[in-house]
Amino acid sequence: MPIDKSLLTGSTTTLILKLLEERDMYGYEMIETLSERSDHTFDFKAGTLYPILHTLEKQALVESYEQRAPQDRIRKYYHLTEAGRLRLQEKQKEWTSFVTAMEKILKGGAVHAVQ
Amino acid sequence: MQSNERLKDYCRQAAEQIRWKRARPAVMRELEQHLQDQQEAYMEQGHGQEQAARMAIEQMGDAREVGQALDWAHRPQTPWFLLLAMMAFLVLGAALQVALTRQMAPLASYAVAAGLFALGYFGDISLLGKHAMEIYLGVLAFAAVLLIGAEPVAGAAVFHLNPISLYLCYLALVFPAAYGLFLYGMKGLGARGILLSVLGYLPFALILLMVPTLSGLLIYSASTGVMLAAAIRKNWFGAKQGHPVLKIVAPVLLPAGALAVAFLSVGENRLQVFLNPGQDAADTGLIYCRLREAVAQAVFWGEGNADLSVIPDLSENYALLYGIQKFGLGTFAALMLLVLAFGVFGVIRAMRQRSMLGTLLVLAATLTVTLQAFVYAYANMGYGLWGTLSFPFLSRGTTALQLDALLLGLMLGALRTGAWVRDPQQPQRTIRFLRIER
Repeated sequence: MPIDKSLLTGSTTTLILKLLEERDMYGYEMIETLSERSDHTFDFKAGTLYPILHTLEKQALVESYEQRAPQDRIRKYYHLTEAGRLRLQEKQKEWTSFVTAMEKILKGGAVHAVQ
Repeated sequence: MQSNERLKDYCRQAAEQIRWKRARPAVMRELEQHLQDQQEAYMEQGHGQEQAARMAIEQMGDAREVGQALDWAHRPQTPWFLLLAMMAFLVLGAALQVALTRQMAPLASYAVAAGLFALGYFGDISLLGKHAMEIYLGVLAFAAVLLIGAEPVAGAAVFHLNPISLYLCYLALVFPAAYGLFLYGMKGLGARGILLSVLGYLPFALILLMVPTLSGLLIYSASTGVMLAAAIRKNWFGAKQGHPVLKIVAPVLLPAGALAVAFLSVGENRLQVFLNPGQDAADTGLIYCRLREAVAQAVFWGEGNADLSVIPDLSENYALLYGIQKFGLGTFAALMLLVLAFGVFGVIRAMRQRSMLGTLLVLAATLTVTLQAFVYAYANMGYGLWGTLSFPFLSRGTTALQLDALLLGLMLGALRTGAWVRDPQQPQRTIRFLRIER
């Protein structure tokens, strides 16, 4: 189901930080993993991902390093920093509060409608 | 168009939107890598090479829009406050020197200093990191040549190369940054790296002792002690940094050793004169007495009553005293608080730098400038046991002015672009050459 872009704005950072919490990844790998795990709900364009990644790196929430890959390529991997880990925790708490509040409103609206 | 060329062309178009040109090569490499991965994925799905390339580019997005978004992420962070403060000090210093010397000649030195500042500010600091050990050895060799060719002038080594005369005491302003580059080359060398860092400190210390400049030695030693402590704190030497005692003793040893040497070099007579200047009515004691009297006759705000014509080398060695007499002790106190704030700010920002190169350069500049100012201030108050070097930008001294300008240019340049400097994964070429293994 396609998702309204405005819902994704602000969540993309959380998704990226969460992925990196598991392990270091490179950009293409992140896009593929997000798409696969969300059953193609989150199909990010690479052109959206890289500006966000570079901004996170500038904010020292992630750091990058290069590593040799098959076929003599150099891949740029991203690693979650301690500051990034803390930001992820804050974002997750924020998200949980938001979702809980939304659920209350949505479920509460349904109950009134039934009545 | 071949698919490879198509991908490269796309990356070039995107990167061209990034105004900070230094960021473009790395961004292009990353985008190209991604496009190649995406192209391969489409080819595995059965698409032809050209078709897969077009699909990969479409998946990436419009090149111009992608580039503009990347431009946002790659804007250097101009340290406006420090930049404006720096310019204000340059202008203030030029005005002060013109007032003290009653000549316009100092303006030329300040113009050169502004140029050197710009060189440091807009230069690529990563070049210093790439050639760190070579630069350290180069500075050492250059300093040794200067020392060998120098002549003693009033007890200090001066190198003459007509029409230039270089007072070698000012090497103390360069040595902390050069030592910082030595530290930079010690990445991942563990306890051996810390011990080598203590050894790496010694050649410059020896040169400063031979000049001799005890103020310079103390400024150099205090700066390098802090830099070594910072490198240990940031785990620069690697997980096996040796016994905890080594990690504490090594950084303390540098300034403590220098202080001990400085006190021993001063001699008992000089120390007695410092404590009781009235005992030496002819020479050093007289200077101490005049300086302390001049300070005592200053007011908190406004012009004091002291006769400064009896103070020798006013514009060079006692420019602050002139300022105290002219504008009051309150102005002096405010200036020194500003210097202290700069020092504290610089150290905090240095420790927050993402790269070790940024940390070391910012620390070297901050500490050199701050300590230089305080040593000068103490001397101007009549309590300088080891003489002065210079007060950054305010006192007369072309070499010091220009070296300070270059140092601060490097510092602000590191603050501006340090987010994008990468520390090396591999040991420096010179370290590999010397077979200093991890």
